[in-house]
Amino acid sequence: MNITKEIIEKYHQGLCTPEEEQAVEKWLDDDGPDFAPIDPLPAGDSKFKIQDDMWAEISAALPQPKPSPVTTFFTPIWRRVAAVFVIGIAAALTIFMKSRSAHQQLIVIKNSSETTNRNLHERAYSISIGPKSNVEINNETGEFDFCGAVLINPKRDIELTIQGSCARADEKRGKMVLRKGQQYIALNYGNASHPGEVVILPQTSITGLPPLMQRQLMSQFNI
Amino acid sequence: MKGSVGKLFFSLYLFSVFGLTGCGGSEDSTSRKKYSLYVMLKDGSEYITRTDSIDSGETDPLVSGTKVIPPRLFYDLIVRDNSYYRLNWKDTRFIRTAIENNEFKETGSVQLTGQWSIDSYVWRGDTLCIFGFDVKNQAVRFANIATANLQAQEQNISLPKPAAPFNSMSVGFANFMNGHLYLGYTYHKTDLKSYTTSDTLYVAQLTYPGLKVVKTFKDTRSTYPGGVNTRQSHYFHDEKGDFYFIACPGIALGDNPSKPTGIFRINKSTGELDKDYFFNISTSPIHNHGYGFWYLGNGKAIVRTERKGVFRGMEDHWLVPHFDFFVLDLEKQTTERLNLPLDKGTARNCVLVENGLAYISINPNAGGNYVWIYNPKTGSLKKGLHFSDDVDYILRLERLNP
Repeated sequence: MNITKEIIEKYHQGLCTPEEEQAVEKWLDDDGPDFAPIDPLPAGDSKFKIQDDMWAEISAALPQPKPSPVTTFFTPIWRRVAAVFVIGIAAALTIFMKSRSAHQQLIVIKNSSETTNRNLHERAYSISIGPKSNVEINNETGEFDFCGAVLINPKRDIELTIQGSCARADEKRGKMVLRKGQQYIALNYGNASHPGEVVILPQTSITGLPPLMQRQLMSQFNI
Repeated sequence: MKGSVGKLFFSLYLFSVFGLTGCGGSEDSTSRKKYSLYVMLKDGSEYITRTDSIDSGETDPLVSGTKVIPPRLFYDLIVRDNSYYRLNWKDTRFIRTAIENNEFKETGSVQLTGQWSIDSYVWRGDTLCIFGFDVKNQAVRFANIATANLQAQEQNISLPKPAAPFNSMSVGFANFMNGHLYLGYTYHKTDLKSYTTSDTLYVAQLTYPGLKVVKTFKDTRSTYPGGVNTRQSHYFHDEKGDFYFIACPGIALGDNPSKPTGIFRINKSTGELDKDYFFNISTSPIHNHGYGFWYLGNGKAIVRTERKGVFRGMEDHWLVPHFDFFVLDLEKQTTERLNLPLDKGTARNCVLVENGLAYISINPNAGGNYVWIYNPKTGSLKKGLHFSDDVDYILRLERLNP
């Protein structure tokens, strides 16, 4: 019996007839020179196809490889979407913080309440903005524009150029040093004879105002 | 007989020991000082110093004074018989304080209703009558307080309420005359950053104790009658019983400065606001607004007036020395400037008249702080008590004990 590639495969698969099985075993035991060579591998593209087929067969027999934990984590699609979002927000925040350090020098607050104050705490001072009052502060230049009534509480000696943005045009003022430990009232004080006067009073000078004004301010800012 | 005289002396002794010291605190009457001086130092701290003489000598409040805690009471106090009285505007508690063992201590209080502070006060014997306007409840408040036991009787007074454009009012003086109570008042338009006063002043004649308005006098020659007399004096009676008050439209009180500062009179004989009497301070040689107004006697008074051009406005009104003192002849309407340094502090309880002399505390920025002594008869003016250099303002000078 001629031993062929097909018969050897049948033998490995246990599909040979007893005659064929006997013949293959005789062939395996026989080291003689009459060994018939296996047909050479076909040339060209089909060689790669055979490689692929063989690898497919081998890999099918191998144990399944465990996927990496990272891959597992991102397997549901929503997690990938979330990741994209998180990275996006972090990037936006970074850009915002960078630009804020440039823009934070300018603080604009409008208190439209009829009765309550709005408070702002900065490193160098804290301020309390009275009802229907507003401020625009440039921390870099020390320009402090306001309209209404504002209580300023410096945490260290600070130099400000205080302007009443709703004062008369001729109410121009120079720089002024506000001392730590003192409280100051900045007021756009108005009356018939002298409307829009800008008044900046240290706490002790508040007693110089007309009694009714003094009581109102002390009560509003809890001085 | 001898025994009963002995008992009488013993009981008088007990009375003098326990009776006189019973209500005023731990100090006996011999250690009580005559005068009280409330000062603010350059560092902003406040002291009360007490002394028996203001004619001469030296005082250093840091050495001999008592620190005022809480601070900034100087515009609220009423001082009498070793006690300091005030109405705490934050909680409307009427408080009595005394200095004991070098401490400014509360010795009693009574809670009043509403939310107000004192505009005017007047004594009736040992009873203190206080008046003010409660903005929140839009009511003119009156309280009658017996200082011995701090019992208070309260009542609202039916004066016309502020009507648009006005939203507040002041009772600038209170005065008892011919069995009636007279109240001077006016209206204000204000918010947190603006303030002005009506160009009309009113004087109501009321029954007492019924507090019913009998008659109202209306006047537009000036406005803001009186002021807040816990800060400084704005009215008095002369020897005839006629009542004089100053009206203050200047920026520090009425803030209607186109009206003149002027002096009015209520005549005792008629009980009426005198239509023919008006001492116009602004058109007199003074040519400025004024506020404080004290009686010297013999038809003469002192007025404390601003000096234009020396101060800028409300901002430096408290800080810059710009006040003059003038002696007024109320009948002849003449003025005479006292040769004193320019004085600072918007309002100060700074004139005390005793035994025909006027003691005037002056705090300029240079040249030293003194109580000056003016003799109206001779016109002489000399320096009395000197204050240490750390004193910035002499805020109150008054008699503490008889």
